[in-house]
Amino acid sequence: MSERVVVTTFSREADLLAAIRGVRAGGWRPSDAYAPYAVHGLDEALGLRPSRLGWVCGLLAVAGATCMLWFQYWTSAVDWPINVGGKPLNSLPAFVPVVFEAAVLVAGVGTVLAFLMASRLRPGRKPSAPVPGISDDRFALIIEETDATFDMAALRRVLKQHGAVIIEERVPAQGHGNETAGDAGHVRESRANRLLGANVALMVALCVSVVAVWLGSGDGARRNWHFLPTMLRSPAYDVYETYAELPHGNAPVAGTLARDEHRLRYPATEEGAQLAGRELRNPVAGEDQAVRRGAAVYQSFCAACHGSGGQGDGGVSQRGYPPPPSLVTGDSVKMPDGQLFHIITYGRQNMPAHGNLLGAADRWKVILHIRKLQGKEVVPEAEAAEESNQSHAGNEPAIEEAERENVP
Amino acid sequence: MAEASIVWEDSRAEPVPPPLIAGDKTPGEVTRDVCAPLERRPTGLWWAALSVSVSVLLVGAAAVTYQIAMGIGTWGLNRTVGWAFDITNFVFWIGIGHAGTLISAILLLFRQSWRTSVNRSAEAMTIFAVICAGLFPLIHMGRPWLAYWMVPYPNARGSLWINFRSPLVWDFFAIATYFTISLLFWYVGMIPDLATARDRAPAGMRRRWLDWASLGWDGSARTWHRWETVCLLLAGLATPLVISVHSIVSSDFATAVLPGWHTTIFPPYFVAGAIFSGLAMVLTLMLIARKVMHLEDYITQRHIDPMCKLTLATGSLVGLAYLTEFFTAMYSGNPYEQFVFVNRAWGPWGWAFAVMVACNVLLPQAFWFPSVRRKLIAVFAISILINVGMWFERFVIIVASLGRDFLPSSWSSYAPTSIELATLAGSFGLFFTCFLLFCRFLPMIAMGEVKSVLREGRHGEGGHT
Repeated sequence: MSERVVVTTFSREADLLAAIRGVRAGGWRPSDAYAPYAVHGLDEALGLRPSRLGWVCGLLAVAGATCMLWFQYWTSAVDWPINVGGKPLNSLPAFVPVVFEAAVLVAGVGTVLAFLMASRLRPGRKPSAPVPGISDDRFALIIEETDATFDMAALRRVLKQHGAVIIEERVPAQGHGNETAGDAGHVRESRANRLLGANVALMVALCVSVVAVWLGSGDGARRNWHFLPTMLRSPAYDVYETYAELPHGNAPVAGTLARDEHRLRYPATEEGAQLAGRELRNPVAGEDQAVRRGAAVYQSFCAACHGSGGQGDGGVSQRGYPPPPSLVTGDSVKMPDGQLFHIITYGRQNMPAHGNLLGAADRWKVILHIRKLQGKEVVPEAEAAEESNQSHAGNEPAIEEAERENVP
Repeated sequence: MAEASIVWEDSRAEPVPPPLIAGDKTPGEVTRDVCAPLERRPTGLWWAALSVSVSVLLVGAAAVTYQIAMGIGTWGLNRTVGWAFDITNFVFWIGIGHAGTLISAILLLFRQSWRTSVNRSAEAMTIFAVICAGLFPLIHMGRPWLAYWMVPYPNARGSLWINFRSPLVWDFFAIATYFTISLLFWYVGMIPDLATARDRAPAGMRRRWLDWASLGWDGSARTWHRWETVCLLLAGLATPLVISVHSIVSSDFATAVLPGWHTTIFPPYFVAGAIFSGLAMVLTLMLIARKVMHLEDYITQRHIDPMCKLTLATGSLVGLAYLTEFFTAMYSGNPYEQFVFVNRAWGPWGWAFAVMVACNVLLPQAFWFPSVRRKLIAVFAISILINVGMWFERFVIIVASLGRDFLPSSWSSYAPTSIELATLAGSFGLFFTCFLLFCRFLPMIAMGEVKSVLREGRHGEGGHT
């Protein structure tokens, strides 16, 4: 450790530079210089090593870029891949802009932080300029007296030769500073106490909140606290929910039928199917329009399993679904229209019910198409069938058929 | 000294350029001149200007509050013209911000010492412009309170991530990065000046905040060395950042399929236009500031002249871009592209197109003439009109293209509501309020940098190499 430092004040930049060169030529080593601005040539004069902040910046940029590239790839192609407009999941060209921005951000912020750390600049640091006016228009040069053979007089001559304004010898307190130790120590201590107090308070608050959340979370099955549930629960009434304040609680009157709904008053059993077959007739006339409609409905709803030709070779049946029996050969040919209607409405064995999917008229028209596939002529017994159906009340509301069995 | 042929040598001698800073200033005088406005009470003119800008800001704030509470229906947007004032204003303000970075960063890399008088204010202008710009994407969301969903944080919705392929997402990262880096660059550059102001301040509130903000800066050579390195590094980062940010903003349009938007010229076109409008805004602010704050010695013709020339250069680039767009459409044979340009000039927004061409292409050509560059009133008027023209350029690009798209049945007109006009005015109110507060509380001129380009204290010729 040096015993003393020589602090020299200059009023011109050129004087400072010349003095540094003179001092170094004379064998003394300046330990630091102070200036109100970045003096061109000061770094070389003092022999300062180039700062390594450039390396920091470059490495941080690469790190930021790599991390952001990996993150984009991971979110877009690994964690939750979503097909957006058919673009490839690993959309490297599209990832470039964000990679660049992240690189710049990480590099910039990191370099500034590195600069502050390297220069020991931080809020609350007491400035330690050796002479007043450094930030205004004065320059200073610090030379450490390293050994006993230090020639102060020679140094003074050299400094004066280059325009030194003030030359002082000082005993350094801590570092280059010349703050009064007593005051600073007291101030430092009370500030440290305050910081410690603040830290403890924050830690306590954090622990308390963690414990509170842990204790208060309770039943895991219950929905947790929601932040901003603005669209989670709609305030509008739902169509088929019951609400006490609405007339009849918003429930439909008993026995309400949907529009164009025809309840089929037969049990959904094999006996019901055969009964329907005996009692129902196809009410739809077999004109071209109806057959075409039936063909269109068949192609949309039936051909997937039954095949376009009715032979049970539809796409679904070929891919593992149990294939239905043929519609154009065997038992289907002998089944009356009413039985077919029952089967379409309620389903049978592996075939699901289509009563909710197709209106009654469409179901009858499909049967016309099936008959055509079977090669039978479609019998246009429209009026006769209508009457006989009405007498059997197969398509009428339940009001007139109270004595019927409890059928859906 | 040769006696014969003295004539040749004299005529070949380099003329001494006028000093950058007039009035033969010493570093001490620089300190006093720049710190004086911070230390005295603000003038009546400052208070008047502040009250006007704060009033305008409050009107804008009221309009925005109403709009967020009531919804985007308070704007004049419709199904076809889905973007109008909101995105026009966004691009306008971001563009203005870019010139600040140009002056701080790019001119630093090119070692142009004349930047030292204006770079601090230009960077401040960038910060405030980016703040104004960033408000518009925020308020144009249907649910601005959910804006944090733009950040890709692990969440309870899956985690549901953002769509990194969208330019709107790129925008978010670009603007956030640009704001952060500009803020850091501005602040780091200001630390030595804050130290200067700190050392002059008597004990009190002002001294305490300057103490805190100057981070204990002491002027050590090593710290200056690192500071210069950081400034150079940030300048090196900020330069491609400027280009990337406005290119990303332009891809908001360029990646759409709309005729008039879907063109690869947009990134360079927008960047040139941004620097153009930003330089005009710097000129406007500098001419006001030097008059009001008595800084005529620091912002001299040696600063105004190169800025006018840069404005002319970028304005001509913008004019060239207009011609290129037009030629590309014409040469393409694509009837939709061709119609876009017919529509821009002769359609319902032809008046806006005329303003745009007159202000952006024709008017800056006046800067060819040194007499115009020296007449500061003319420079001031031209700079304001340039910004008007640049606003209309973004308006024409957005609204005229949207309002006349591929399908004539979608064609629609657009008119702004009072809310949108108030919001636009409010953004100017915010900008000028921030700028006036900056002039009052922070050193407007980079003292440290100006001192290093004074001729005082140097052997031989001045000028920073």
